[in-house]
Amino acid sequence: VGLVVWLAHRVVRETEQTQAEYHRALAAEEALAERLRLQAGLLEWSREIAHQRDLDRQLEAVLRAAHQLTQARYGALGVFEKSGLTFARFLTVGLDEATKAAIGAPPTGRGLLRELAHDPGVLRLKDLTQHPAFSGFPPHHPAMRSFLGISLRARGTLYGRLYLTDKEPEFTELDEQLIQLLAAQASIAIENTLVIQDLQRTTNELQRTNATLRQVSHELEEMTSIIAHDLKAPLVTIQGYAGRLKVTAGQHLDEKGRHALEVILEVSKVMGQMVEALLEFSRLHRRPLRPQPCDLAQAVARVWESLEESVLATGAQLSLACAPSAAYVWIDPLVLYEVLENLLGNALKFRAADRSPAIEVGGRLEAGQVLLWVKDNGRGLPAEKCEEVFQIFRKLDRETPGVGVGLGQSGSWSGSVGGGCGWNPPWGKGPPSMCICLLPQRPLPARNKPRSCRALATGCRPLPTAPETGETVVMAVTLRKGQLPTSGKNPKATRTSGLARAWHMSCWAFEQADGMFAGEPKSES
Amino acid sequence: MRCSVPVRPIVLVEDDPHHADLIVEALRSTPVANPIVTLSSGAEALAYFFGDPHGDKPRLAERECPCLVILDLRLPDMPGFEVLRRLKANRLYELLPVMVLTTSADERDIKRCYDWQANACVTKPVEFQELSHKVRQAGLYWVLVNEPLPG
Repeated sequence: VGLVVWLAHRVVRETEQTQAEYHRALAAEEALAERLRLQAGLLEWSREIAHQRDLDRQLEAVLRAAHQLTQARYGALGVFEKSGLTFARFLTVGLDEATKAAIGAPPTGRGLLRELAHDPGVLRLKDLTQHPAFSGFPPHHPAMRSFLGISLRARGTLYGRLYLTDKEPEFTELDEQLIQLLAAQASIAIENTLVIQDLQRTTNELQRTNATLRQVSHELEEMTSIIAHDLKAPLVTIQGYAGRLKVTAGQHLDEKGRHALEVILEVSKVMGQMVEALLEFSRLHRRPLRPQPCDLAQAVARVWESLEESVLATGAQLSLACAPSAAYVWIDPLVLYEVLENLLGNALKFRAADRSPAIEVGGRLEAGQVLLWVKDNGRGLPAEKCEEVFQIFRKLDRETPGVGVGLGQSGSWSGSVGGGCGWNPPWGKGPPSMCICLLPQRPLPARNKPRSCRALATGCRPLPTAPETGETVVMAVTLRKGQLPTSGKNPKATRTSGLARAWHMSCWAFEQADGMFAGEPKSES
Repeated sequence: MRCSVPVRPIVLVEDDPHHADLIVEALRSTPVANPIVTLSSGAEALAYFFGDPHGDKPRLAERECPCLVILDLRLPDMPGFEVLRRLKANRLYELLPVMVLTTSADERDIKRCYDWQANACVTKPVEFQELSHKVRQAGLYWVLVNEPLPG
């Protein structure tokens, strides 16, 4: 009997154990199924959230996802205003319209909700009314027990809150993990929207600033032009009457009087030149620009021709070293002409007293722009004056003629087309010896590729040695009386075209010998 | 003197009295002996040519028409272009030689002058000698060298 009883007990115990194991396995399977269900749901909802166009719909989707997946009865999502005190957006789920209307304004974050703000993690309660921070429901608010809440934060900024209430019997750890994922999505959506809004605001501000700048710049140009006109009229009068005085009464004046008159005439003449320069400055800037490919070497040759008077007077010599990649610039021809005329004119003007000017002009491609340099053997430039000379009406000294707009114009012009002027190229070291100018370039349409030119113009001779920059010089041009062809009815035109042909040819030579010259010049470093 | 009798005047429309004085003096230093009528505003100029500034009936008889109109562009009451336009739109005055004399050498202004059929465009240089030279040359050319359309 004892054995039977013992056996029966054992059977019962084993059956109980098996039953318990069975229940445990069942529970585990259920938990797994639940987890899988949530995972699938979460994936589905994530896709749904990502597909929403605006923030409101994204947040609504987040809230609906949380509500549905946790099977809570109520849910709410609030986004703070900038102050962080009240909600700018407040979405609910599970409350009918009548209840919502009865409750009135969204919560301001007192009591339990405030508690959430300082809690970096999740707050999960079986009964929220038992929490020490609970301060009661507002009137008409349904009673709620279980609670799951989380702050919406991204990169340390608190954006809002998400909470769910009333799940039977209570919220699980799985719900907690789930709501964390959803809160992260909501936070990123809010942050992105704010970043985009910020960007939009900044863009708008920039556009406004740009418009203002354009307006101011336009007004300044108008003003320059008006000032220049109105200043010129009295100068014409001063010059006129002083000139008349000199003619009619000059011989009756003593030496002091004559000197005074000369000073008046001279100074008003200089002022006249300054006013003319201002006029020219404002006039050129008002003109619409027509950028196009311009042959750099040809432009240099043309400008050199236009400076003929001073070239002949000083016996100046020009050599040009233009890399094939810098054979042309994309610029308004007049702008190019102005820039070159001022740079070359400047080099001629500030020559040394004891030697003829020898000017080297070179071009190469630097980061998509043509870097043009002008080097001369003139009297040089003190380092501290480097920046100053690019300002209008600044002159290196009082003796040299002119009013001090040349380099300023070059700088202003090249700046207006996205380039700029300065001293010494990146590879140059030491004191300022080369004036550089950056000019724009763009890919050239096929039909504009440099053409070959068979005619060899006189006045050009190849230079046997390369200068210190490592650049290969094609040829140097000398312009001396009698050396250039002057046949034909218009000797000037013939000369210009002769030189232009020479430059064309130099470009062509480069084009043909691209491999030989290895394209780009070597830098000195 | 080539000019027909009675001698036709030169009309100078210039608001700056000093400039007018200098221009008149420059003209007077040439063999050009025609009387010079100086008008100091657009309204005065229109009144001289049309009587009523808004009308388009010429006030002058054909033989009284000036042999040269020197016109400043920057007038106090209206742009010089307006005077130019009114003159060139009138059948009697359209062939009068009009020389625009201005402080501005603005490309657009110059183009507008020629668009409105100006016969010449001269900018006022600051230097007295140059100004005087330009005015004398222009006066000599239009009054003594140029053969006007027979009346």
